[in-house]
Amino acid sequence: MSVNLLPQATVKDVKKADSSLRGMVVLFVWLGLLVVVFVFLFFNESLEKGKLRDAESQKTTLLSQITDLGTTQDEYYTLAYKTLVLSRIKTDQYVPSTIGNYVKEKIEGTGKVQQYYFDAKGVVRLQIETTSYYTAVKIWHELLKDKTVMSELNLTSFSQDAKGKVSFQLTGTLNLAELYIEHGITK
Amino acid sequence: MESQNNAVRTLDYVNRNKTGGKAYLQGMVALSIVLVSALVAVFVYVPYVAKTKEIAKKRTSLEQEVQTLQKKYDTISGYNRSDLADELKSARYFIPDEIRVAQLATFINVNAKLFNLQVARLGINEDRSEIKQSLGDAEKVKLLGEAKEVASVFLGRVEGPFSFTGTRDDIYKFLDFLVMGGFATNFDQVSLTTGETDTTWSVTFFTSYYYLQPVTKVNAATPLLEIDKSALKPITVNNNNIVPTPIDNASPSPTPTL
Repeated sequence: MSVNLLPQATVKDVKKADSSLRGMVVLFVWLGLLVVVFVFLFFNESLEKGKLRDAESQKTTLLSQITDLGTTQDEYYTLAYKTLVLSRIKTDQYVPSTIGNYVKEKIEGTGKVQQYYFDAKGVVRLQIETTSYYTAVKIWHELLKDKTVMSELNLTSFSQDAKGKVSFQLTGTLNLAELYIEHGITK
Repeated sequence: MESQNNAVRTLDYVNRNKTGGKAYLQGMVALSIVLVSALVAVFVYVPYVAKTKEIAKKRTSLEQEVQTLQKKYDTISGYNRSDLADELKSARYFIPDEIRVAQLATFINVNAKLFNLQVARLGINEDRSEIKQSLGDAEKVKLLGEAKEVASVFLGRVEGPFSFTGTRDDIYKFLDFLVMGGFATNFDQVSLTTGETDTTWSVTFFTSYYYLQPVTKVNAATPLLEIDKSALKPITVNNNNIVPTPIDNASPSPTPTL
């Protein structure tokens, strides 16, 4: 007859063992999670660092390749700067005869322009002579009507002699872009 | 009997305490896990993530720079050398590398005579400035971008007041001739006045001619500039017979084709 000398595990003992085991498992899972997250972050950082090093190396290589272009690069930039400056100047450039022709169109036949003045900002000053007061007003009216081209038109001086001859000065601002469009000038 | 009851009560008390202690212990362990997790997150993960984000940001910016540089390299190295030479020649036609004061004086004088104009006054000055100083903010940004170092680009200007006498039509033809060729020139304060006779007029104007010296040793990091080929065409004026004047590398040509 055999006798079992081993201690008999009660249900309570089993429950206790299960509970301890669960506790240990939870602890290990938790620690594992901490480590896994850390490892993930570490690898992610290493990956980013690697990509950064690659980009730095690419940049260095490219800078060196660009430097090796030497005179080609210098010539390219000389051309780029020249065209840039030309574009800038061309936007301000104006064609003098266009202004002269415009004034001629509007005034010739009715009055006589004694002095033209125009500057780069489109300011125009005209000294005009007419045979009568009526003609002077007509010229002024003609120029005033054309608001798309001429703006801020002012009568800056006016005089009339004993014979009725009128001399007056008009100052205004020309819309050069509009004037060029009307005269088919492309810039 | 009494003592037995006491013993049972004591055992119950001990058992209850045991159960309560265990729950307390479990609670403490759970709390510790949460606390340690929070501490690890705050002191280890968050700085790590922040550092990684910083690196990623730097990498993204660097990759953009690489793309820009790659575009620059491809554009410049892919530019046909012969086209570049031809276009540079055209550009020098419109904006020379240099204009000497005497050359401009000669140019204006000789050409004015070709338009039957008489020189009444000739006065010229020379000015030279760094292009980045003479341009507006927007263009400065366009020119310099984020490059820390750029080669100095010198934009020169020869300018001065001129006076001529002649017919009104000849004066306008001459002024148009000076501007229509597409040269880097401009006028200001143009004043035409009738002379003693109705056919004789005198003109006074202020003109500037620009020149731009070639750039050398351009920094590799200088941002790419686009070449505006449209600037290499003269202004077109309908029904005008004046042909743009050839210009050599040094100065406006004194022999226009009329």
